Amino acid sequence: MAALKKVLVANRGEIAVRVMRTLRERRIGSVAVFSEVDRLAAHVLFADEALPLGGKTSAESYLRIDKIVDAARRAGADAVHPGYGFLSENPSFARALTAAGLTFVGPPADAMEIMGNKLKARAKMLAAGVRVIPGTDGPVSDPAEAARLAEEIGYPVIVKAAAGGGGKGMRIVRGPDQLAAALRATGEEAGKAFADSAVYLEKYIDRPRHIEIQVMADARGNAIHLGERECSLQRRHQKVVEECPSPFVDAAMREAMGRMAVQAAKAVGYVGAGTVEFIVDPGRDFYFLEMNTRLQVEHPVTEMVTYTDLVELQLAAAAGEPLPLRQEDVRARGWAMEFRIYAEDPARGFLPAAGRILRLREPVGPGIRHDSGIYQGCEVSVFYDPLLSKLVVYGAERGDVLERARRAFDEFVVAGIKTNIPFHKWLLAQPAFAAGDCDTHYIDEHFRPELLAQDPELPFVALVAAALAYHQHGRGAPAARGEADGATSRWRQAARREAVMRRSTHG
Amino acid sequence: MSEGRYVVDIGGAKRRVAVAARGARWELVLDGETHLVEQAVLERDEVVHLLVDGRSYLVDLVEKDWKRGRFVINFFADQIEVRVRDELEAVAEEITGGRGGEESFELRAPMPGIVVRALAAPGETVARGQGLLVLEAMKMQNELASELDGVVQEILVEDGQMVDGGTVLARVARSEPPAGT
Repeated sequence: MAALKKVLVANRGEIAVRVMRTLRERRIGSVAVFSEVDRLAAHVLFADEALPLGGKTSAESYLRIDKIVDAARRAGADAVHPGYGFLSENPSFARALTAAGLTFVGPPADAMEIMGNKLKARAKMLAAGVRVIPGTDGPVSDPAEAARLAEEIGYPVIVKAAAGGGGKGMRIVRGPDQLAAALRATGEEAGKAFADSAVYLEKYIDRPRHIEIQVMADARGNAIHLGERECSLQRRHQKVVEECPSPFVDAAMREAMGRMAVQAAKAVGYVGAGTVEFIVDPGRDFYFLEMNTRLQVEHPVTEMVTYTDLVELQLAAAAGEPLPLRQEDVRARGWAMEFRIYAEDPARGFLPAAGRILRLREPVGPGIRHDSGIYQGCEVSVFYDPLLSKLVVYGAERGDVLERARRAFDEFVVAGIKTNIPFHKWLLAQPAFAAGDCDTHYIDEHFRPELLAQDPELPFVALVAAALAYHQHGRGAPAARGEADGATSRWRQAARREAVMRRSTHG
Repeated sequence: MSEGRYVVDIGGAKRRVAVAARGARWELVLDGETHLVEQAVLERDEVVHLLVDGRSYLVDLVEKDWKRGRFVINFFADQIEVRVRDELEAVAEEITGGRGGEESFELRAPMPGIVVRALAAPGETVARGQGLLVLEAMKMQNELASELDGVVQEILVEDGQMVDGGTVLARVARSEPPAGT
């Protein structure tokens, strides 16, 4: 396959911009696509070319395979990078691109299909010798049979509805005496909720950690891993902070997890960048959870520590080139943490926030990388994911990174919409976080909005600023005070006019 | 001309402040304590840098309603609403118990959203705090209320309409609207 000359990025927001940055570094043309709402989104402003998809919702725009294939053809792109989310893990999309003679920057559709199906993936992994969470591989109904299986798996176990999902239809059982009742209750509940009362058993992991391994494979059967990412800090199953390396993983464990992840990738004929997620119990036993067949949101922490550009490696793999590094060439240095910046209000149940970003001052300086999809003046729409940007902080030691992150958040100004920055400040003040001791339940168990601390100087500073502004605004120009009455934009125009007039009068 | 006395509502507290020019600087007397402030305007009425007794503060005036003296002030990650009133105005307001002197109220959308329904019709008498319409934003329904005892002059939006933040949604007049409008 020839080297890529022009790549369409079938995504929006920070990830689209991040992919285009590598394209630009590699002197590859970048094509953005955008919905009606996104005409002025950051990725459109950044791209070399941009094509409208029409539509407002994701379903009308970024999820439309036909529109994206058509845009790629019209732009004369030779490949499509899907980013994460949207169509990135959709085998039909990969197939549609291939059929149109375009290269999909991602794994083969078949590999995506297997990994996208829990049961198929589990069977495939079992066959390949990858450790999965012990459990019954099919439904159980007979209580005596269930008791025997539960004993084999080892308590605690979890009873799950076969048709369930998203935390619905499941019960934790800590001993044999609770099992029969749990089977009955879960079955009845599942019958009502999903019209399917089949249940199965799985080992329940208390205080689990979520640790994942980055893998990279080429089309010639080579695969390597690039170490782990610690992703245990989650709020309602949504990752909030990720780091590399994990404070919980030592060299031997990394080696073992890495080997297993490579095994998993090879078992499905994987090509490109992928992530194998593991659930890890407090005794350091780890089990395959799933494989994400795309670039992850949190990929930058791996990049900072391994000195790689995962998008560049993806592009090379898609172009059919061999992996540029062998396992023994992978070197990790230092520590990196990613803080996801969401448009949501931590003081009000993390309610998504939308509106215009009136003021933006991004942290800079030593050890800071800000992968962002926003700019001052841009509109944050209600239509898409509330992820605005990712603040990536890196340094030699974990302790340095924590201090640096605190400093970075002290510099960070986002005004006009609510963000979760105050939440990150809270998190950075927690001893458990500083010690690297958080499991996946930590935030849900410990965070309360009352714990958000405001800068103690805020009321004083705001009072001084407001009183002075009001005082000066009113004096000498009484007419100005009533003008535009709170309408910022109209008022701003008036102020600009006034400023221009002043300049012309005074020289 | 360069002296003023104000009552400032902030974070549930009422503070008295006197502002006076001292050459190129300002003297602020806040609850009997004097502060010397040097102000540099980075962007007119948008961004100011303050040196308060030598301490450095970069402040953003995010929202401004000069007529009502309402501000939303941003200081790094934090925001706070502030209301500044002339001392005399504040005293008058406390006596009348209302918004002294204001003849009309414009209801503006506090955020972008979709109008669910109007709760009052033109010509209807409404009390302060009474809902005028319901705006849905981020899947939450918010009742927006009149800030004035008066009569609804007009409802400027329709049910189901999408509006930007700041859009005028309705007008309420303190007295009966003049005949013919």
